[in-house]
Amino acid sequence: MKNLISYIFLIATLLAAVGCKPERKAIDNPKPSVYYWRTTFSLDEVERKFLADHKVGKMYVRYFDVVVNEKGVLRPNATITFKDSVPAGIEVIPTIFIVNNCVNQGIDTIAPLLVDRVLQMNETNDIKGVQEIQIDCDWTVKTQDAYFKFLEQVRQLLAAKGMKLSATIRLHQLAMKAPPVDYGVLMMYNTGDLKNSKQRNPILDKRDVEPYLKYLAKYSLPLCAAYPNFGWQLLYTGDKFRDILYSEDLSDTTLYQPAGNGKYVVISSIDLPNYLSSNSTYTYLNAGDTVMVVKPDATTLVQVHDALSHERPGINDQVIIYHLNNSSINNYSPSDYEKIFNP
Amino acid sequence: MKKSLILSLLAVATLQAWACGGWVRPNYYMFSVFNRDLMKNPFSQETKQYWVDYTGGDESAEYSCEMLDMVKPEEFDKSDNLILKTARKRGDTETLNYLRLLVKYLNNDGSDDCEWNYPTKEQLAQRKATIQQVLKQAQAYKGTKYKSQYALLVMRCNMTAENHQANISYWEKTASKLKDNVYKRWMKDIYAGALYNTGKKDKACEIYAELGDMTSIKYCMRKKRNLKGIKEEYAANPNSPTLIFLVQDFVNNTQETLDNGSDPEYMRYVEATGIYENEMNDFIVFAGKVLDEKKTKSPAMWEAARGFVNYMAGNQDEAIKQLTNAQTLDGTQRMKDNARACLMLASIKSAKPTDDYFDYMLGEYKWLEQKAGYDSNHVPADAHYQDVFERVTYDALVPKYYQWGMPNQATALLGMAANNSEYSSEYSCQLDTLSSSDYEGFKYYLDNGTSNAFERWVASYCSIDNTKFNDMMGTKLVREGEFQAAINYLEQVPLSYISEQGISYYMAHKDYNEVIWMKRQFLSFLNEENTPVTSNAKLQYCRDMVALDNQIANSSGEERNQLLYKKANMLYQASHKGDCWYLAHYQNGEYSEKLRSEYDFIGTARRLLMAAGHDSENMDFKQRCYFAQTFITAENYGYCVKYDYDWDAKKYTYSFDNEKYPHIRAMEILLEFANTNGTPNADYMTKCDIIKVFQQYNN
Repeated sequence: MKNLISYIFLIATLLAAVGCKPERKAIDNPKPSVYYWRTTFSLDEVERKFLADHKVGKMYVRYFDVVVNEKGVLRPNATITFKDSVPAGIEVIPTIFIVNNCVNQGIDTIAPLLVDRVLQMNETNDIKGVQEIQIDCDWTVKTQDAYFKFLEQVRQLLAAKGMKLSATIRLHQLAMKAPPVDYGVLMMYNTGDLKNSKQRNPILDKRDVEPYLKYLAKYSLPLCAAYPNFGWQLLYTGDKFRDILYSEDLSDTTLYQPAGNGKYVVISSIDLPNYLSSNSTYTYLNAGDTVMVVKPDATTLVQVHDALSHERPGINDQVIIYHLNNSSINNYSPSDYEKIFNP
Repeated sequence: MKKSLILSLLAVATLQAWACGGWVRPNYYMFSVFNRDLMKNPFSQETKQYWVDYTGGDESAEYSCEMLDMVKPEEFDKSDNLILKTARKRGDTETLNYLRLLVKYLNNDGSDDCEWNYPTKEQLAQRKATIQQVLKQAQAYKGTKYKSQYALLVMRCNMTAENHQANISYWEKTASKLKDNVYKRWMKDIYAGALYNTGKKDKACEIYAELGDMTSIKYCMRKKRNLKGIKEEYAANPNSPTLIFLVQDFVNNTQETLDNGSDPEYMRYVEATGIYENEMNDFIVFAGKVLDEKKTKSPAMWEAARGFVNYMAGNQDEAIKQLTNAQTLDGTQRMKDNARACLMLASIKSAKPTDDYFDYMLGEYKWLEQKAGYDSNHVPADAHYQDVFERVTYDALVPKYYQWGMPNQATALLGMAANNSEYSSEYSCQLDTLSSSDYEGFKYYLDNGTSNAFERWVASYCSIDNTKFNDMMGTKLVREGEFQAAINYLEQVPLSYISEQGISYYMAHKDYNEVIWMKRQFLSFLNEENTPVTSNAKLQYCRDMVALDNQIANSSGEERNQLLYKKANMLYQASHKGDCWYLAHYQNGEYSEKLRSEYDFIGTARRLLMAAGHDSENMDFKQRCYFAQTFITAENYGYCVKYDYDWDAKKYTYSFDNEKYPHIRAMEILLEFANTNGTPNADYMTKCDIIKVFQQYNN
């Protein structure tokens, strides 16, 4: 009967889509925004220039993760260290990533702890003017009830301090009940499967987005959208995916031969630092291996951006780029960024 | 490395929550020349033991030692921590003074990255000041009883303050001259850290290896975790302690790559490096060179390593020869045991089902059991040998038994591996998938059919009591549509037994007489809990089915049509798509499929509906039969409308999916009938949005 319900929902959505123009539902106070997803807060000149050039008004800064430790207790992990100040005029939205396996481990007990910790981090690190917290979690049917209850608690605690709560929404979560937050950020990245990346772009592919567009118009939360600017270099031996390379210079023609469409053939074997391991181990590239460069091309990005606007006017009033990083900024031209920041 | 069991969890109900058929075995590493416990803090156990002895042998002092960092300095004198209580009771001022300083340090060492209380600015400044106070007080200690502990505290304070140069000096001038004990080893470990942080990485790694601090070695050696690194370390020192880590790491990474190399996220998660064919071959050659040079004091390790890599590379003869030989060469006992365990696994690949081989297996399994050192709760003292047991059993011998055409032996081995657990094991899932006759045959095998000592030993771990047997046989017979035969077994199953099963929740709340296409009975599996039942619905279902068949046989006309309709619903309810799936299954989920040997409940239901509708002259009844068929076709063949998104026009496009023809056809028949002879405004028709849209689209 689940199929039946989905079908009824689909049909109802189709009728709505055919019969009426979607209502405009934007978030309050939208500004060009970025995610900051590193463990040390420090900006270089390129990153500062990017923020200034595009008049970025908000930074969603990952403060820490919540994980289950060895003793089965929920704990913060990988807390950010602030070694630099946030540029004046930019609002920080502390963002907390909650690993999904935490949710059914008594997450309702940590709501006040989490809020207090974030507020204290603001104070200790002189982060001023914080008006909102964001929670990021890849919740599922099985964890939904507990997660939503937790969000309600956090929202109440924040409301008492005049603050708001937002949450990330993955594409597949559009088909689920909306979380109890003030607004959602629709993640338009990591939409595909890395292992099948030769067929589709695992970062952003229209074919992976397509099935979910129908849910947009009726989704009950105010939404804004987050788009990727990062790219991957994927190493293959034959058809077998082996590794992700880290910012390898593929223009070195003594090592790589361009083969078109973002494909490079390794012509001389080399050992490279292994991006997949946190321990800086090596990846062996053998002559004959191929490296595929994948990043969402600007055309796809703009197409998806426009389709979202069409299906749900207002969703792009605020666009967030994931993520601010010197090595990713140049994946699009400044004018491409402007097309989605200020279309 | 353990890989979590990944199962199809979406909306899976019971068999105590796990679905069958989705097991992913942990890829336990076979190669182990150092105990993985060395990856934990190598000093904590001995330091805890000091406090166990101090409290007169109270083992809970270990926990109290771990909890010292939870004691607040201001609560120190009232704390009920066992160690502190003991010292207070004894009036042991010297110990209390040391502990007071230690607690002060632990409260200020900055290890709160993973604590909920984030420090204020003032607290951060206060911490720095406190660490300096502790440092001075520790340096000022003039006694002898806690000389080593205070010295360790000095080095810990310097480490926290990131004053690495001070630690290097302190070690060289003072700490290195103290008496040998765990505290001195710990200090040397901190000294190695200071060397590492001041650029003397090689020297640091050497010390970590000497101390058996495998976690730090892993960090130090992170750029050498490959054959190139092994060669460099060997060239520098053929007996470098780092080689134990690097060789084991290399062999394990080879195994990991074979098991999970296509899953980069998982490889990253377990911090494994990919090892591929050319490197495997190069390693085999290099290990041979090491053995030929005879500079190593651990040939057993190198021989076993190349033997196991040969096994993974598919060079079976060399693998067997080298793994056998490794057990006779010099090395630690663990290195020789490692070769023996690897040989046990490798041998299965080329084994023949002979008495000699089963005698060998019996000996090796018993050896593994002894090495694992199980306690009364079947918890192993050395988890590595339990891991070997699982890898050998699940990944090698069970599949081999199937290859040999010995399924009962394979099932029994699963039973032994699961410690005869009835729930959430591959064994319970395997039992669930057997047909009634195979299950009966397996029971006979356990009771009377074993043919050698190994089989008898394995079977001794498995047992199926009569209640379980009757319940499972009855359920399997329901599943096979043998309702009369099922009654004989189900009558012998007490309600108390069913009430303890996961399906009791569904049995207590779902009625198979409810007509499924008119009313669904939803229950969230999230609320699943065992529920006392007042009757065995499976037994009643079988009795009702037998009675219904008799009624059908003795009826005709509209009465017969009504009975066929009723039977169609009852059959559908018992299918994996039905609300009352518990009648014939122990678990069900979103992606469940018709089981092997399962009666065609759904197909039969559809045929009965066709017959009933065809023969009836009651227009309302006829329409209900057609409606039921649209329900069944939609549920089982899929809905007939498909949609795509036109990116240029920015709109969905719709079309009929001809592959879903049964649903299209059933819908057409229903609507044609309703519009000509039936009642298109019947309640159940007007409530159905699918029908509305189909009509609109079709027009």
